[in-house]
Amino acid sequence: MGLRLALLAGCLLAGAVIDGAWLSRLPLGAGPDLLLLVVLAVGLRRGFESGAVIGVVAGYVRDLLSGSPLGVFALSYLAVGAMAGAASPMVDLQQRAMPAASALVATLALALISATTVTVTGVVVVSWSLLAADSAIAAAMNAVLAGPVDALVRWIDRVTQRRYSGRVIGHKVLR
Amino acid sequence: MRRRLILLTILALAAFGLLTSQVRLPERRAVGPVGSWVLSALGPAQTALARAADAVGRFWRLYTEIGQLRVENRRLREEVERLSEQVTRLREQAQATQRLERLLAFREHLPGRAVGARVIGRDSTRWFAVILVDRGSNDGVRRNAPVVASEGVVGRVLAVTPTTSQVLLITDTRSAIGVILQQSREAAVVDGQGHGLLRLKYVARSRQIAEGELVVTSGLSGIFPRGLPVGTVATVVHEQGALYQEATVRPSANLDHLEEVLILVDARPDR
Repeated sequence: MGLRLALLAGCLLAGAVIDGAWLSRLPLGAGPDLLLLVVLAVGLRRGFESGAVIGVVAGYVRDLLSGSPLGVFALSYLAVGAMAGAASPMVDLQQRAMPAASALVATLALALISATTVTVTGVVVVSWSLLAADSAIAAAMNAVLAGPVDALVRWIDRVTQRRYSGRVIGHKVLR
Repeated sequence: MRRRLILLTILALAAFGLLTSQVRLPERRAVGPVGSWVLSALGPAQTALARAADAVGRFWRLYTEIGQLRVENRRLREEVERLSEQVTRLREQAQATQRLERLLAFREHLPGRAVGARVIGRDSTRWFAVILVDRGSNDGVRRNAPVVASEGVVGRVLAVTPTTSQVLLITDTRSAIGVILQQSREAAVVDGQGHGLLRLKYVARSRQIAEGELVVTSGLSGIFPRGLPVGTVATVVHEQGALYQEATVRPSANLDHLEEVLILVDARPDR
């Protein structure tokens, strides 16, 4: 348990740092969101509670690093992580395209939720057309990286030898 | 389900609390002790990654700059080649213009009518000092017409076609011209040696020939008008027992590098 938490926390922090230091430099106006992909993979593989918890933690880290008002992304990632966990029984991760498709949906959902949050709280005025363009770019890149990130989370599971008796993970009952 | 709702509510309230707490804070944004710890922990890693990204970015810019410089370099090389060709062509034109100007200036002092001709051929064996020019009988050129350059006598027309003429240079062994030494006014004959120098003959031993003295046409040969520069005395040869003294004469005209000449189509030797 401790090792798994440490590895997942390491993944989150590494994703946050890589997002801030490297991926934010891509000259496309938007970049992939490794934090979101980690939240998505954990939510889809571990279910609602894990998705929600890692979502709020990831959002908080992103709030810290991005300089946004604290809580904006915490709330948004929490919503996405919880939704991913809630949808996990209906998602078959054995299908090869499923991580990419999930990433597309999650990226758009995150953009919508975070934009709504900042609009409601009056933090910034959102340009919806720009948001749509940036979200499309981010969604495409997230779809590309979703598979490797999902494989990393799966590897953490395997390494920590965690087994969830009777828990449904992507339509599969492990025991 | 109930447990999920409770968890979600707690987490959402926590996030919402974070969001609203800042409004109450005087500095609007305070990350708190946990946030400070997280930021402190991530700071060095982010700095290292950012530096690595900067290094990669610099390398990439350098790489792309090298590519651009190669393209620029190739373009500039082509430009240099083009401009060099242009400079060469213009320099050629300028030199040709200078030669023609000198030729025209020289023509002003020539008797009769003269036609300019371009040298279009030369005897490749170098046994015969003959050149081919692009003027012929259609332009009024006749056999034995004197041919001159701006520096002096070149030769005479050996053969004529309607459009070209062969010119026998004064250095050809078949050439002989009646001349006078400009200072001593001594009449003599200059004939070709088959190489770059001429031989001055039939000068009385009693006459002094000075090296560097100018030799001009005498007008007595029936071909060349009087007073055209033929060459300058290079060396004087004194032979024991000879009736006359001789000298070598360096032609005034640069016969090895002729490009344009004047053909005196109606020159009269007595003028």
